[in-house]
Amino acid sequence: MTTKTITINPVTRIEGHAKITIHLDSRGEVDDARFHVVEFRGFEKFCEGRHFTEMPQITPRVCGICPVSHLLASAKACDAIVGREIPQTAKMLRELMHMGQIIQSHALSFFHLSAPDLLLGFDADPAIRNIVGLIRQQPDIAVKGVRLRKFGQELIKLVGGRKIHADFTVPGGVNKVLTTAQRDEILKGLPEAFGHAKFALDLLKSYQKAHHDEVENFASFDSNYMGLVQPDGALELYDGNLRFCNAGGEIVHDQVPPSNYLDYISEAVEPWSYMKFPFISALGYPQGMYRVGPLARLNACSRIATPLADVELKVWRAKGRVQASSFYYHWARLIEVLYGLERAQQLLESADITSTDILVPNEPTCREGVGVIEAPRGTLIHHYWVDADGRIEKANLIVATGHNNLAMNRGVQAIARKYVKAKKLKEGMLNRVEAVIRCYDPCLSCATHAVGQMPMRVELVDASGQVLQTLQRDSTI
Amino acid sequence: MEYWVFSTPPLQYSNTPFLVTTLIIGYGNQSRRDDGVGWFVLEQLAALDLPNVEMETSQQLEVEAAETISRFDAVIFVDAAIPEAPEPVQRTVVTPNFQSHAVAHYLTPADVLSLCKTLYHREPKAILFSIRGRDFNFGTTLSPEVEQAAREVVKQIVEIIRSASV
Repeated sequence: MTTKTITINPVTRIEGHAKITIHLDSRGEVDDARFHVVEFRGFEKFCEGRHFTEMPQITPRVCGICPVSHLLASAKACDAIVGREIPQTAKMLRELMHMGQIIQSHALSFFHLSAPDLLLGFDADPAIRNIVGLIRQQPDIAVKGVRLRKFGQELIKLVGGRKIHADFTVPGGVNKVLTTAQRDEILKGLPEAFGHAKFALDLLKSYQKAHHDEVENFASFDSNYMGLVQPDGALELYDGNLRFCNAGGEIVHDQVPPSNYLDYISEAVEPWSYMKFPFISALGYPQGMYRVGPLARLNACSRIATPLADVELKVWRAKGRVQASSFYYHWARLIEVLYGLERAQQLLESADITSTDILVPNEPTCREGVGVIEAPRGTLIHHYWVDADGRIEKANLIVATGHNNLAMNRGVQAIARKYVKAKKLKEGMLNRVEAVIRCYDPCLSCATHAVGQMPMRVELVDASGQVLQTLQRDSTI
Repeated sequence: MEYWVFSTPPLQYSNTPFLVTTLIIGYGNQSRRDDGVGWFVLEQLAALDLPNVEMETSQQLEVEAAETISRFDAVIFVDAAIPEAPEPVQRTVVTPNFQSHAVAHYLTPADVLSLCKTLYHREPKAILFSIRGRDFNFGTTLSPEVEQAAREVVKQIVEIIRSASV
């Protein structure tokens, strides 16, 4: 059977550089689809030989989008090497900073990356289907997005001293107290931020009602899910233990200490991707494919421990205990924004938040440490091995995009089968394929300068490798 | 030489028309050798105590940069360029232009200006210095030729700032 290949390269509006190939059979039907990641991971090697106390400053430079997540996961891994419990206030301040990260990152993802697709339409002219086009048509929405993201960024800055690469989180705690004036400044911004979060949720629910079939069937497929939960199974983003559940929501493993992750997760390798393909060991490959991130967290948790977000979780689950459609990532993201705001308020209203007991000595007592948090895009694992002097012998970083690698491939396959027809290559169809990737908001940062400078190219290639057709969307459209 | 040409006095300081406020943004990944050249340039400039200038470093340009630049009359961006760039240093006047393909996590200076103009109705004058990189592997030091080019950019920026502030 003759096959053709459609290549979409690069995927726009995600971080880093990736491409999608859609393989067609001789009838023009989609035979297979793959999400290729051309990132080269060398960061762990770069860390070897550095003192472990430097890691919270080095590893956030993996990425300019989610440095706070790397900072916190790294600090937690270093805490484990120190081998002492950090002060309660230090934990609270770190979690508060994390809530700022969740809010700003999710706000960017929804308002600036996904809203143009949703509000201007998948088939809209690509010249206007972007944030500037959205501002021109619906300026109020864009301004709310900017304001909500800014609230999260300012929270991070007030807690950590800087928006990016704050040095306030250190092994053993934090090095800066929160003043009452700073606490009050953050609290003052909460009402407006709550308003914008609820506005976004209402907007998304309206979209869901108006586009019911598309929402429910958008790259919908069975998978397992993984996320951190509290001891009672409630949603947890900063601490807690791992829970794995299956496509029906039944628990596969529960309350797994993060330091034991290697006993539950294995990694497969495919010849066409630099990234590895993690899976749940007990279920095998590829049946053990799992998803992480907002959708996975809400599927895995039993409840949410803040009132407004818990109400929204029940609405989110109205059609079933587990949501398989990738579109639900967007919705889950907004529920997590609400949770982030409520949790930030809880932390700020605690008397302990301004305590000066924030740090314990950070001499290494253990040769190994694991730090896990729920980054905006999903579970982030930092694992360090050190020598007797505390120098890094080996580091292992597993990022959310790595966990979701297999699932993103499944998502692309599902959407390609539904929307891509070889003889009708339309912009809106291609964008739907990209849009499924954007549901996962992957972060493939590798600081390449090629990103954003390449046109989007679609190639039809037959089985012999001959290019039959090329479509290109120039950057100047 | 006059670098900033204002058709009207700068908005924020209309009562003191000779005062131009300038923001210098150096961006890139300091852990990817020459990609961190923007940070290096700003470190050199910071020691010079330039008048009416603020500086900001970041790993990449993001949407909130639109609001930041809206508070200035002029912006100078300093970034690394790909090894295939034709010149060691390229100076470009930047105007608002949001490109449809743009990765919203990572905006170009033209994207940021476009967002600024659309959201805040401000259009600061802008120049981009693109410094050709040689090595983007993991590391924290610049290639010798990139460091040399960066020092030349520092001189040019100083000249721009001083001409605008007299």
